[in-house]
Amino acid sequence: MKVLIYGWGSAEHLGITEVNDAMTSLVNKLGHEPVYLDDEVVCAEGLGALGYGKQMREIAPVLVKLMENSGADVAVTPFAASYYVWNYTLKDIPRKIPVIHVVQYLHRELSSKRPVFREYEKRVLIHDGCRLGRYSGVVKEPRAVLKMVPKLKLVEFEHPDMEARGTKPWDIAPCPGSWLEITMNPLMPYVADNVLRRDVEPLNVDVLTTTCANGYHAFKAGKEFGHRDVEVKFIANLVDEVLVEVSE
Amino acid sequence: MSMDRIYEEYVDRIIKFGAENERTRIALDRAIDSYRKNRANALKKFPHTITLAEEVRKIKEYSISHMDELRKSACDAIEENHGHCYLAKTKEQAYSIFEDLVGRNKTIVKSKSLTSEEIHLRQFLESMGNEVYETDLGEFIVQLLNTRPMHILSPAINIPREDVARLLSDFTGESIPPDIAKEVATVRKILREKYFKADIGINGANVISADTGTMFIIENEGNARLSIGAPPVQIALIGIEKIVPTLNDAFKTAEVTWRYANYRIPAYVNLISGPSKTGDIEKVTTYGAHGPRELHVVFLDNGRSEMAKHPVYREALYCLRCGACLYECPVYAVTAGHYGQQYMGGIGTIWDAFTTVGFEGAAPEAYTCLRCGRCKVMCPLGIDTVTMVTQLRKDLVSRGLVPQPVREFAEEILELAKNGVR
Ligand code: SF4
Ligand code: SF4
Repeated sequence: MKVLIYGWGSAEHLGITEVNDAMTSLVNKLGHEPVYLDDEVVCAEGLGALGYGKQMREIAPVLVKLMENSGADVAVTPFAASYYVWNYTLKDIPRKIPVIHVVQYLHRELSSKRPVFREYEKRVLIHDGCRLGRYSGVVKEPRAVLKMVPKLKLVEFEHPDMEARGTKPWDIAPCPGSWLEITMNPLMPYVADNVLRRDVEPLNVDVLTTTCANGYHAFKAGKEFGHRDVEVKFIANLVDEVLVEVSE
Repeated sequence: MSMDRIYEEYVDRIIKFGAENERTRIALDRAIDSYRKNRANALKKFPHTITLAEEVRKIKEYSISHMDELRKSACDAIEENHGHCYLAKTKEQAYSIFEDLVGRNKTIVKSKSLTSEEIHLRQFLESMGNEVYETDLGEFIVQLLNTRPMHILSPAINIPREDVARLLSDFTGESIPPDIAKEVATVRKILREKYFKADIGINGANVISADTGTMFIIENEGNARLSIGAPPVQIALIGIEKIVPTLNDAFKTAEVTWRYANYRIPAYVNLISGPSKTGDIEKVTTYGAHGPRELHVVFLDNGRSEMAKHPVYREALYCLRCGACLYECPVYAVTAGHYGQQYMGGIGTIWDAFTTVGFEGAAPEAYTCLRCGRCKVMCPLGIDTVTMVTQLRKDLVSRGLVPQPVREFAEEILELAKNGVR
């Protein structure tokens, strides 16, 4: 199976090439062939969020053509927004190639094969990207994948509201301000650092892992800015780190 | 001022006075923690509030669709109750009504009202030579600081006790320690005599019923009670979106408002339907018994009817101003009310666009929102701020009012797409 690693250019643009490396490594470990776009319109899915929805719709067929020309069977993205846009906002644009999020890909492949994981004796807090968790309901998959890792202690966000109103961790997962990168750049590290300080540190975890590469980028900036101790990892990077091999 | 200049000034302000300000952070931390715990406890004790909020959403949907009709009914009821009712379509009309009613050189005590902040009513009255005292403790601090409120309900949320102590020491010429109880006692002493000296009391309202003309003013401090009750004349400034059909609807709306505003049960809920009166002597109704002998209610439109006409923006009018969303917003948590021009936060962005600074002024706010949707989860009425902010961004694009960094980013993508290259 050919797997298009979609959003490669966006990750490069954001300076998080380690996400691309982990995605490629995982596709290889899972016995698939990674493919890439010849040309990529970097961050194109961001247009709709910025108010250019009409223009995004106009260029969507160009993006679909690029994806289809790659010859891939499936496009896998690390970006929550990208997943959301293709599966909801632009659902009506004719497209032969499915676009799935990397947590869905990992969950599907790892639960149908026999993966071997290294032990990971750490407390890991899961952060759901807003568009993936709150908006798309893709919440079981990342948890199921992390639960496969021996000794990993999964930790969830907490809020006093959870008992009173029955809100779930993905309902209250705080955004580290990823989009500020584009819309108000100087503010982003403050927001991300504050989330780490207020919402993450009190949970006493070793690692924060997020399902959104864009969120990862912001958390990384916040960690650096505030000199926070907690390790910050994009979920694909964490899984790649502990996944030794996979057999059928 | 050009769009880009407005944006630059806004970013400078939000960083300098919000994000970089350690004292704001300390004060916000304390307030957010305490709010979250208290609200959760209040909802646990009164779990019916969650379903009541669903009912209130329907009441608000109906009310906003019938705003004009309800305003007429409310005015009829107020006049029947021997009050006077006015409609100010714009800020200027409101000023002119207040100018006629208040005149010059009066002493005025005022209770907290975002609607009066919207039109800078205090500043207008002061410019006419009146002496105006904000009587809500937080608003009083804001007045002394000569700044603007930083939260819907807690105007001085960003000011820690240490700063309040310094401010009050300067004002009184005495040494006030950073002890909250002592600070409260100091403000109580300063304001107490003003209520009975005042010629006029001015208030807002959380909700008003069209059938009885009864306004509800929720408070804990007791300042609204005194500023409404002590002076001989009461003037209320109320947004037309606050009118609901019946007294029963108003009770429901008030309960959801106070519960989400962090009051399990507020110390006071003031219900006012007319001026003070008595019939104790020969059953002859006489006005101005102990409370005000005159009641004037000024309904303010100021862009609300425009908002109500729009299929997306109208949802902003459902807002109860409980402030719950602000306590949960990751941006607000580092910037306080600097995330905003006059109103604040994501919901405030829409209000600012229609009632205070226009679309151009609200553009930087529109691009401060992360579109994360946590506010919607936490809002009692599930108000969809993200959809409204997205609509506002679309409108800003079509009006050519997008701030430079966003505009350049989008243009670059569109250029790339046109050429089909990386
Ligand atoms: S969607 Fe905007 S206003 Fe709402 S919580 Fe997120 S950043 Fe704040
Ligand atoms: S938007 Fe909702 S949570 Fe925010 S102030 Fe209004 S009613 Fe309260």
